[in-house]
Amino acid sequence: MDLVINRIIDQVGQVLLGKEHQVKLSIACLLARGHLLIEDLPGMGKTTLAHCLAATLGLDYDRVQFTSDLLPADILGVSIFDRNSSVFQFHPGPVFTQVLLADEINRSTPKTQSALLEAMEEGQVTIEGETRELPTPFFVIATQNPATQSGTFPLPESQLDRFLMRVSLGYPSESSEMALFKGVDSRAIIKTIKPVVSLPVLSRLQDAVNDVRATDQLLSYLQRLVSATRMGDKFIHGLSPRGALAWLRAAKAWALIHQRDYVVPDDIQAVMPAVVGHRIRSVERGNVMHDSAGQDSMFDYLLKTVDVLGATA
Amino acid sequence: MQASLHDKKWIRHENLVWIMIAQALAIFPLLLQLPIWLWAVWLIAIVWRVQIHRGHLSFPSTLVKAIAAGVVVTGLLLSFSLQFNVHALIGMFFCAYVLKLIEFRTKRDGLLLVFLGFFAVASQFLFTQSMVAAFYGFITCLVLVAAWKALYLDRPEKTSVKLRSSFVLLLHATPLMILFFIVMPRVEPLWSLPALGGSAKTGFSDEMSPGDVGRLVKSSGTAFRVEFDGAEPESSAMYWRGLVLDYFDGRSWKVYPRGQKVQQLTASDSIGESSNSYYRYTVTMEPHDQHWLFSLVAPISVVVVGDEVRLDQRLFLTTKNPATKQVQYRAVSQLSDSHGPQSFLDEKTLAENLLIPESLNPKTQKQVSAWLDEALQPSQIILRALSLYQESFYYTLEPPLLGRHSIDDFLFTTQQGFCEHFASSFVFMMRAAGIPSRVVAGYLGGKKNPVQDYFIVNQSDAHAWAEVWLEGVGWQRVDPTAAVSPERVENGIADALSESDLQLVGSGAYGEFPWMKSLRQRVDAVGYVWNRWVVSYDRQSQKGVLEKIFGGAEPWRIAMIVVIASLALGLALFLYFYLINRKRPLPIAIRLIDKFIRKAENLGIKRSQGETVSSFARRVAVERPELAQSTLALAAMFDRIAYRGDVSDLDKLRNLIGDFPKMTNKYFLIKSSVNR
Repeated sequence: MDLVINRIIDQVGQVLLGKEHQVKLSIACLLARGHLLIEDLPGMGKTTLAHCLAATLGLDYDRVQFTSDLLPADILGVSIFDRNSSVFQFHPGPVFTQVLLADEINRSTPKTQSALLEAMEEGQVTIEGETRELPTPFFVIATQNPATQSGTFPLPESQLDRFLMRVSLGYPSESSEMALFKGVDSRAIIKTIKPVVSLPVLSRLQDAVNDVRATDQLLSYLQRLVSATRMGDKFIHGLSPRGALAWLRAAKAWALIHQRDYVVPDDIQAVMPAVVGHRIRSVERGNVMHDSAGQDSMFDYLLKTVDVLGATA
Repeated sequence: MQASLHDKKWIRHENLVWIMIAQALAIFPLLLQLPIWLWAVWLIAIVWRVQIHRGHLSFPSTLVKAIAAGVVVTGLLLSFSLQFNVHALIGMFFCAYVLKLIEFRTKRDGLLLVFLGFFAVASQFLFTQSMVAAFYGFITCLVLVAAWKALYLDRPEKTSVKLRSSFVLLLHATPLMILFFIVMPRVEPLWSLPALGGSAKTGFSDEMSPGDVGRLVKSSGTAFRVEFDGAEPESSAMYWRGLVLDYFDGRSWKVYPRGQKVQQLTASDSIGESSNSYYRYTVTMEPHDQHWLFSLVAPISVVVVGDEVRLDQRLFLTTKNPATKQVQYRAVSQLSDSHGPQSFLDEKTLAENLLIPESLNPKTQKQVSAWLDEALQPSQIILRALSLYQESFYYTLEPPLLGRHSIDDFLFTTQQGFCEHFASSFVFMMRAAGIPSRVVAGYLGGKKNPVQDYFIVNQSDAHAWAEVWLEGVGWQRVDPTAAVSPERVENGIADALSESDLQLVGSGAYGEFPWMKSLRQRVDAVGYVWNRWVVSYDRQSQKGVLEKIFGGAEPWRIAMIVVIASLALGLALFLYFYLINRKRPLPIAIRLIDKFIRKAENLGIKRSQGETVSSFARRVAVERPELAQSTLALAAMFDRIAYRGDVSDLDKLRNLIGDFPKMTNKYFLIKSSVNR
């Protein structure tokens, strides 16, 4: 089991050089049955990451490029009248896949965005009065350009909440970039990638996340962190209970990746920026924290105010 | 780093405010009792200190301090006219305490001020020991502890938090306080407290003129409270005998002061327990500045702790010292209608109880001699006299004034009067008829407080009646008031008077609403319980309590039991926490990790509170590679204990942390200790 996780990380890491942390986060997100939002400038390797993950996990993969004229039906699918059999025939859209890469999700109109987000939440879509199950696992990797770029419709907070994690890849390090220059084209590598896990193994891994232990001592730390976001004057509003649960689930997945069957505070801290960053608003920015500088100071503040070894429950 | 904390020995603004508030609370009750100019001393000290704080004045020089001390000492000497009583000493303490404020600059001064504050709280009880005072003292202690704590804080804390924590501290101290209250030896005060001036006490004086009892009835206030142990008499039979007035000068009745034979009091424990012919009761008497006590007929045993009780032939009960504060006494009375010698009255007593001024009240004397001419027996004369009152007499609180022949005026002209008029005229007639008799003043009746099963006797229950001596019977009580107004005796004063008179009784205490009455009864009951069990907990009751709890009151026994009990309690607490911790290893692990963190801090590696144990351990490992192995191992063990619930490594963790700094080599130890 542990070997499998290591092999996944290794394989994705070979393609996405020097981004081990982000790779681990995305795998943790997948194992926790959550959806991933990658926020970065174009050309940072978002698509490569999504593609590579799908290939490594042996999952169906589809990609939708969001544009401002994209309609819900373009994602979900349409029924078309079949002249031969004189019935409406449903043609499933790209959403009926296991890994969906929703590229530049903030370029489309809110109507289309919400069609996808509904599917993410429910695991099913309803088209023309008929509910259709989506395949399992269903994992959405959405990418978005920073909202400051022109021609975007920023996702509202309620929809950001549907994503378990938001990560940014960032520029590669010096050595990684050198390796990138010297290496083979990543697209060529992806084509050669063989799946390292089977579907049952993946689903067992996802189940194992639930079995990761979290003691009262740990939950107390998490709770104190969560209530620190709700108190004081640093935040406009704190973390919702759903957000707190997501945090715990992500930490459990992170612990699993690190071959532990129990969560330690380090896990909580490691996943914090990815899980919490898009869920709380700081007073200083007046908005969901978009730039990493503001986020970092916020997380520093949170971590410093809460004692890891605080009062036991 | 440690040293910098101690550098902060100068006080901060917040401390100053706390100390000042605590001081104000502590000295306020004292100020009420001391000369008024001391308010000015206090205000000057405060203004002075605030000006120092704001930088407008500097701390006083020795000379200025000496002058200030000289001024207040002179002032005190003048105020107390060179007398060194307790008041003067408290005044001295007050000035020292208040003036200390102006030279208050270091933490040490602050501590001194706090401790003096506790002393001030204690000294307020020299003046009053009521429950309100105790509650006030508690509040003061609360603020004092908060001020004390504020001296040690180097970060701001909310006022509510401070007060709450000092409340918890006081709560922790309560068991010890109760223990000390119960077992500490009760010593008599080393000084005798002077009667506190200013508050005129209500009650009887040692003579009674017409109108005196009426005035007393009009005054509000409580005379005493009685709790019966066992049988209780009817309230109409509760004649609380106080003064025995046997000398009449034509206007007022007085107590013969001179040598009366003293009667032997019985020790209370020699009286049979089960006997029904006794009343046992405890009286808590309000201060009235006089020597006498009140009792039911006939007292055979009266015990006042710390005072001598004297009972003379007339059953006149007195103590050696006047009742300047609340007096509590236990008494046993024998139930009887009459008392004293039955067959023979000695010459002296006979003469005293027959004496009347010959020249006064001729009409009355004539009336009586008419009865004597009819050769009536003494008992018939009594009935004749009582029937006189039933004719056209009127019981009122506001009788008309009487002339020189007061009894003639009352009996034949005004015919309106209060109990003392009836008692006085009756005794005069009896004496004129040659029947030995005297006036007795005291209280009649008492209202039961339903909350705490005791009787409360108010000044408005004041009464006067007569005692006559009959051969073969002894001294017998005759209440002429009962002849004119039986309701007074049966139902108390409220039923006997007209509406308009009733307004006057007890300063209008009879016109209140039921809820007010119930509230007053409750408040009274609380105060009574406080006085009965806390204030009057004296050597005697302590002995009783100790004997009940420990089976004896000898010091060695108490000391031994207290020592054994504290050891047992300590052991029990130790076992309790030991067992609790065995069941819950997490607190132990956290304490061990705290120890590890402290040790690491001594090596110069400080953990921030947001740092997890393993990331801290990694940092230690990087900075001290020679410690890396053990540090990382112990962090992993801690994680397993705290976050996996796997406690099997707890002992290993303890050993690792116990050995932690020894892993380093000598060079590092020396270097780090030099650094410190």
